[in-house]
Amino acid sequence: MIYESIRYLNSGDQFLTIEIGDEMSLKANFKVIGIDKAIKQAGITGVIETLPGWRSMLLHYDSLKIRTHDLISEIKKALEQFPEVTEVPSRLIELPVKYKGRWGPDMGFIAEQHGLTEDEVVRIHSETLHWVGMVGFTPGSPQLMQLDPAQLLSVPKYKSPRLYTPQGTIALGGSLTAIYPVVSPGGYQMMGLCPVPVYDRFQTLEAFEDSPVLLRIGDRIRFTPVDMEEFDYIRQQIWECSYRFKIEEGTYSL
Amino acid sequence: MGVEIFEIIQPGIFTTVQDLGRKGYLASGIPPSGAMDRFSLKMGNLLLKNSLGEAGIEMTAAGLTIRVLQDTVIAFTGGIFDIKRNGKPIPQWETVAVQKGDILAAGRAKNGWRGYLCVAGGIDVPVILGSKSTYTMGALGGFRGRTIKKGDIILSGPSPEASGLLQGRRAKKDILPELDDAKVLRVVMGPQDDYVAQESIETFLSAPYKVSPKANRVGYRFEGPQLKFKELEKAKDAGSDPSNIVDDGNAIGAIQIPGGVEPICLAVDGVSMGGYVKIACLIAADMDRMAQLRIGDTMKFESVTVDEARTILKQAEERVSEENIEEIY
Repeated sequence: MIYESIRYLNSGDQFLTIEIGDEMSLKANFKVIGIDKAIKQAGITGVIETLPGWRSMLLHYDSLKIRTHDLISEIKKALEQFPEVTEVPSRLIELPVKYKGRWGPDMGFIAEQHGLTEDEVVRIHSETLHWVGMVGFTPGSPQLMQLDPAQLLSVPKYKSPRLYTPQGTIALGGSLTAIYPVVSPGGYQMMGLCPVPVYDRFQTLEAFEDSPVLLRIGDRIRFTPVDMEEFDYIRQQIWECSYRFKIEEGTYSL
Repeated sequence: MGVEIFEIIQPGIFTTVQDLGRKGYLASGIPPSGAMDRFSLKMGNLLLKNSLGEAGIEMTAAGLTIRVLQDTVIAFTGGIFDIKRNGKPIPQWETVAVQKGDILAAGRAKNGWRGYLCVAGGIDVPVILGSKSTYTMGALGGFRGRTIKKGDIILSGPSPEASGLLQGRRAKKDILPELDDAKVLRVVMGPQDDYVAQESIETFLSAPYKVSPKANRVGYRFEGPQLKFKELEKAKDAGSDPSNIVDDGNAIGAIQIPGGVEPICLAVDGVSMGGYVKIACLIAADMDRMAQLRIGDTMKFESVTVDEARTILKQAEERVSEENIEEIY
């Protein structure tokens, strides 16, 4: 649900959690994006940075520059003047995926859970647009929500997390899709492998000129299935730093 | 252009280049990193008249052995290590002039857990996303994005002061961290303490906890009693365990309690988000204390208000001052 009034919760003495609800929904996400924009525009003294998420925002501030209760009243003031957000900037980004096989060893399980074939799972997952609701955990890792899927894909996570997830893995946990930008432990069910990075620490590819992280909250992703030959060709382009991401600027409305 | 200053002979257990960390990338999932014990790094820099945010070398638990490649001035701060130059003990929290060819060796940590080696002019590594700090999980920043290895050649930047003016500077004794203080970590309750049963809040704030071996720059685990949760109506998007919440952002210092066992206090390389109840958050000033806890130590959590935390932080910042340095010759 979305709370009747925003909750301001201390996360220690340098962070404030601004919580608007406890649901993962576009509606909640839009509210957070709006709060983020309002706070950035207000230019409140002492605010260091913000981390907008599904249903709350984490705000990092310098408690020696602004006292917590003053910060909260400044935020309230900024929000009062700020109109409800119904449209947000939203890029549409295409990411190639080699689904199934050893690149997506849990596809059998996912198919079985839905009474579908693996190819049907691929079709549903790649025909659905995915909404970036939050970025983090590891550098640039997005949490993605299915936007109007033909059938909602949802599976339980691993009972005990695996120790190794290959870099670039696309995986499903609950109804969220994640991309693993670096080798890490993980609990989501592995669907396939993306040959292009979403985190490029050397910022060598054109799409990473401004940031080592490709995705941001509010982006939409389309996964394009590729075969082994295309996968290798794309990898080659990545190595040569000539790969161009398909990114379409746009907006998205509730 | 920096000068070659140290050659690494023994790298130690987990040795990295750190400054005061990077800001502005939390929303991209990149944590601040930086020195775990900021006071010690800043004092090392102050002793050497570097800017306070210069990069130094952070070592963990057992130190490193290096060969000095150029005459310079150094300062070791942080926990108490057995530090020797060419086999003879040298003091910490004090500038020491070293000559080309000297061998500096830091032994095991005798008290505390992390030591800082600062050098006149600071450690020279590229500034990545606004900082020289190493974030090993993202292979980002510091010395080639990784821990320091045998054979690495470390550079230093130009020193703002002539080395003669840096010698004989010592931090006053009464401002050095009391390492036994680390046995109490002060926290601000929340943001999700309202999920935890009242008697478990009391347990959390009174029980002795033991520092688990799973303690590093990402987070510290503490072994202690099982904590219980209130019987609340679950949000539909939260996980099935009572310790699950709908994912939200993690503050640096947030204390998660997955399953109600082994609180995990996130440190400077902590993960930026998660789906576990955070019972409390470590106050900013006490990250320095946590940095010096030893595996197996017994400690307690103590609750303070945000205003108290602010006062503690202010006092900690004020201790880093030229007034607290004495010239000994």
